[in-house]
Amino acid sequence: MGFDFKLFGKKPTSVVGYIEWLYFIYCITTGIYMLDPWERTVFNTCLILLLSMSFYTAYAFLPQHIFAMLSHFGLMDT
Amino acid sequence: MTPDCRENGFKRPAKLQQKDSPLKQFQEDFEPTPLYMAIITYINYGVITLFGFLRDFLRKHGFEKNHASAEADDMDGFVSLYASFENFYTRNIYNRLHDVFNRPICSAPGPVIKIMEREFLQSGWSYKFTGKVLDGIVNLGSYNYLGFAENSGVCADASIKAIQKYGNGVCSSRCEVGNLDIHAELEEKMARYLDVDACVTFGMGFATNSMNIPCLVGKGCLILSDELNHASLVLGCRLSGANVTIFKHNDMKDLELKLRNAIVNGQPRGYRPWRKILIIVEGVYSMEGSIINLPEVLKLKKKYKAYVFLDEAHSIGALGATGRGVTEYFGIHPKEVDVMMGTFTKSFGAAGGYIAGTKSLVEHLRAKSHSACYATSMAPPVCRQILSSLEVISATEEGKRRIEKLASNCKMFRQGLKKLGFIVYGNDDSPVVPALIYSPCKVGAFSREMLSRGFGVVVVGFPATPIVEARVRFCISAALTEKNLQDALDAISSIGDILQIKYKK
Repeated sequence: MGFDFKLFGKKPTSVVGYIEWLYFIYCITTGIYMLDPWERTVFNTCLILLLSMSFYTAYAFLPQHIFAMLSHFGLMDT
Repeated sequence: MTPDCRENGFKRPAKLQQKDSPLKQFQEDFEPTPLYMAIITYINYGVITLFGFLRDFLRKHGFEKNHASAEADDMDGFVSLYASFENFYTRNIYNRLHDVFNRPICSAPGPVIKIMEREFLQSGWSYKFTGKVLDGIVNLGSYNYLGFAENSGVCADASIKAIQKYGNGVCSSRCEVGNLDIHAELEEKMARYLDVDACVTFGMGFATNSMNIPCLVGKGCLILSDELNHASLVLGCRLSGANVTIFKHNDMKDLELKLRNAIVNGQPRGYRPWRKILIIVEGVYSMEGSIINLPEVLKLKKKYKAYVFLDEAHSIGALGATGRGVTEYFGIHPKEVDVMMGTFTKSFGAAGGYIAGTKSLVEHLRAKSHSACYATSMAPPVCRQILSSLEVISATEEGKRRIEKLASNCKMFRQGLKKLGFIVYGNDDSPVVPALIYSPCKVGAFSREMLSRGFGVVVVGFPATPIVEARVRFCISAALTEKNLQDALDAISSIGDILQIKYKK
């Protein structure tokens, strides 16, 4: 839960502080600020897995899909 | 004065000129929720609920120790007691913000309080006191509107003398041996203060509402109650057995429509006319900070021949030039409201409630009310505290100073918050200032950050408010100095930047 989250004195100006503040806003927006540290790890791991799988799929298959779509609509010669 | 007019053979009397009343500038803003904040709030609740299911699963199958209440092993075939949604909410959502609610205080709830520090173990299931006491926390949450919650001064000395004379307990109900002379003195003084015929007091404010509404209405009567009425009024309406219709908050057109429908249709089966129609409204609504549009309600009451029950729990002592409540604020004579109810907990710094009105109403309640017959009457030091604070408010310069200070504090704080860019609900003159922070995570972070900067605030979340509209509710007090309020505004501004809750910008 959010008990072990660092309390901010004021909006941080240094680079490291700014990145910490961005992570804090990410936790607040998704709602994991209220969870225990291990639950946060579980959520972050699942999210990173999901995102990396999506990116890999896009990287591997998107060009083929775009080629097929364009040639189907006749905008490009096969 | 407009001249008498003749129309269709009827002579209508001349209309009296309307005095300059606050109704001219009566505008309350209830800004709708920004869409992205609603979505983020639902995402928050969704994620927390998902993890709640995960934790329940782990607890049920023994991977994690179950701290919640559960049936004993030998109660296998019995209907389960612990499976409602409310428990799910308490276990998985409320407990995670446990350090923000129920903070124990160890001093008088004045402008500055002492809070006992707690350390939470096991994700909110239990805590222990670290032994440290946080001193000098500015109190922005108590209903201490005129600053009478003090442990020294005129009122406290008078209470001590009362204990020396009467002792602390009354040991009887009002109908038996518990009717003391200071009760009669208090009722007479309260009736004179409110400018009505008579008044009756009870020991508990909640019980005043819930035990006396059944005395006034019964089966065959209709109650029109506002959407956001307090739990005590809702309980009283349910206990009475009358039919209850709810109209939209402070919406006079809706009230008129429902009144007309009720009178035209009559009782549900049989279409008989209603025995009595009672409109129940509050002076100041504590969750929204809005003030009831009383002149319109009284206009409707006269037109449709209904009765009005006005609950002035938060407005007595806090509104009006001499603190006589919402009737003085609008310039209406109190005799126009049929039943005026109020509590002594907020502005008078004591406990208990009263109902005031015509002599026949008050005598009826004295004889028939459950609270008068069965409940123990008000304790003598509490009664004496109310008498001395009433004396201060109505008859001394100090009282006038406090009322003016409350009004100026309210104005300054509300304008300050609005300038910073927060969404603030309600009327500009009400002493309750709710600022909206829609998401539960932000609400928890806000309260913790404020405590670390030395300010104690009250945050309210789901069951008391709609699910998307969690808020922080500031209660302004006459005991807070300008410096306190300015420091509070600075702290709120810096937290607002960190948490990004300045939604108007």
